Amino acid sequence: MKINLYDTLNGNVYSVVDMPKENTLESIGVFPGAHVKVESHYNFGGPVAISLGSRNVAIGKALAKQILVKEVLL
Amino acid sequence: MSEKKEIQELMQNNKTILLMGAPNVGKSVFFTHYTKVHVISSNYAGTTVSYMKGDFTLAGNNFTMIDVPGTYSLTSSNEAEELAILFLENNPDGILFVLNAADLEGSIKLFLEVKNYNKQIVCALNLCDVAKRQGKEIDVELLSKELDVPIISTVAVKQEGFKELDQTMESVFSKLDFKKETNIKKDLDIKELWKISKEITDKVVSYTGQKANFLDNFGQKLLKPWPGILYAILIIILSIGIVVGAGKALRAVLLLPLVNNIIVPFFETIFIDVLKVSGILGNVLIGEYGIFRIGFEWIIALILPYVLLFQLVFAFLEDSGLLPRIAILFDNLMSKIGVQGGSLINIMLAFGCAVPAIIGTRTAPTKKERLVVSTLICFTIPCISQSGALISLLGDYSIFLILLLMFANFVLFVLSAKLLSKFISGEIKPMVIEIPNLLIPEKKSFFLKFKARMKSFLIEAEGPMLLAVVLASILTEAGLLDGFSKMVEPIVSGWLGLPSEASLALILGVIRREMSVAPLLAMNLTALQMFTGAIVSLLYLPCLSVIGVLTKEFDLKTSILIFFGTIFNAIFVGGLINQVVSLFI
Ligand SMILES: Nc1nc2c(ncn2[C@@H]2O[C@H](COP(=O)(O)OP(=O)(O)OP(=O)(O)O)[C@@H](O)[C@H]2O)c(=O)[nH]1
Repeated sequence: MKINLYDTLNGNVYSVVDMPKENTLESIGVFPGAHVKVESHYNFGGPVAISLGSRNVAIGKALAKQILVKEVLL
Repeated sequence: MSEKKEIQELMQNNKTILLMGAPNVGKSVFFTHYTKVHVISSNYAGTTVSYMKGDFTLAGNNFTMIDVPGTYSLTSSNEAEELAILFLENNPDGILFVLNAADLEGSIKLFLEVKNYNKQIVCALNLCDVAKRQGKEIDVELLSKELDVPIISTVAVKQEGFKELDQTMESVFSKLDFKKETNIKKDLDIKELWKISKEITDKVVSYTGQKANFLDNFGQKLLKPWPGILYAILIIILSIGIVVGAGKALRAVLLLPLVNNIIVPFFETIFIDVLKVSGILGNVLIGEYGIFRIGFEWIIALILPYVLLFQLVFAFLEDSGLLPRIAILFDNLMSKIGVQGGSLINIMLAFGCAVPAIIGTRTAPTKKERLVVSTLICFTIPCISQSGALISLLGDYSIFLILLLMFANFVLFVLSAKLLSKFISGEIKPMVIEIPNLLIPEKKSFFLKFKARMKSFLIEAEGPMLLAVVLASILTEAGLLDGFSKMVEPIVSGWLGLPSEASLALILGVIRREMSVAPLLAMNLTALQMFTGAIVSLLYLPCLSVIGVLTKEFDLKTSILIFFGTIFNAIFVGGLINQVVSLFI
């Protein structure tokens, strides 16, 4: 089931299915097929913090909503 | 673009070694080690946004090392990346590439992009201490084989591994025959690069099962919205408290007595008793606004204590990696007023000085964001010299006036951000920001940086400040000010409700920001007058060097608009407050 990155649950791992073509995302390692672990959501329209390998990255809500992901069952 | 030409010439006429790597891997520390040129390093992405160069010798050959801005990739998605590509395309003779041991995957990916340009590369595997703390063990030999490049492990802030690195650089770069190689550049697929990087990382990294330490735990806690926001607010309050409180103490206990009881009386004795100067010259030298009086009162007793403490506190915030964490926690607020959380780092930097903050906006992904943030800084963010002067002005009356001014500043900031993001065309992209590891600042590099900042403050600010002081003395003591004061009296006294001599503040404020406050100190103002004066100064144009940077980074039109816009805005808002409050008292 595809959901957007903003509607994910903390602690789960997801695989990116589809996302807007955005250089800044690709260059830090978010691209279709990449696995991301969702660390936390910030309230009141704040960003989503994810980890990719050993990097922690925060992505603003508006962009996170445009990234489609699928849960990876470990 | 003149910068482009400059770079082409530089690369043609010198043997150049590019210093490259992802943002925040410690490049600045390497650069200082080789060139002895001091650049300022900080723990967040984008300390080096323009480039720095410095000369050094290796095995008897002269080289120029270029500190290229750190980037995550080479896809020209912002001005820093474009600059990095420009350097690579202009035939450098070699590259010192810095890998991040704590984020090998990301480093390898960028390395592969750089390697694609077919240059001689030596790698330093930096931040090995952080990787170790996180329980990672890296097989350097295997990594070196996989990447086909010599690699030396380092902990740059402790100079660990530098000897070996020097030797390797010497043997690799002295063998160059300096025929510029041609680029055989292939097109790369980013996805493929990430896949290869992950494979290599998995091969060379093993985990020791080390428990996460206190810092990593605290870093993780700060990332959670709760209690992160609580910690962030505590950190901000504590920082302001230290700067304001300790600054006040330093001023009252040490600097004011020093200036009032020792330095000024000393010059009074010299000029009045020994040299017997009198008349206009005497007044200009040591009168109420004499150069040798206000020069010390304003610069040493008023501004210096706050600048000193701010630089100490801010250097700590920068090196520890707290700034991006704070930025993330406030992203929601920032996006509501039309900007994004990431730009908060530049805004916080501007509380020190607007110049590096405006240059720092080069990492912004869109033109609009650069312009909005820079304009916002010019209109509403006071630099520390100015804040120091404002704290002295209002604090002597009541701490509540300071709090009120902070609140007014916040409201004006929000309003300006809303207006600017609405009326400047283009788009602002949502935040994408990497969160660095929390670090305990290393004593040596921390103090080096602090020293460098203070030195550059003294060098860059001293000239204009003295100019302002001399101008103030001549204008007031020689009676030249009266004419101007009469001219602007309707504005200064009528609209703003200030004494007419306050016109001096408006003149001096053009040269430097804090000088728009200093003349008000000796004027015996009422609380309302103080507050109006503080608001005018807060919103008044940033100093001349900021106007210069704006012209360079944007264009003449922008800087002229900001020049007149800030003056108008300051007088308009300040007067409005005065008029409205006057209705009630
Ligand atoms: N613990 C530790 N800290 C380091 C090491 N090397 C650098 N640092 C710190 O890491 C932070 C980042 O260093 P910078 O030199 O600013 O990084 P940079 O690569 O120049 O960054 P940009 O200018 O943003 O590209 C600073 O606070 C340094 O003091 C290291 O080996 N170990």
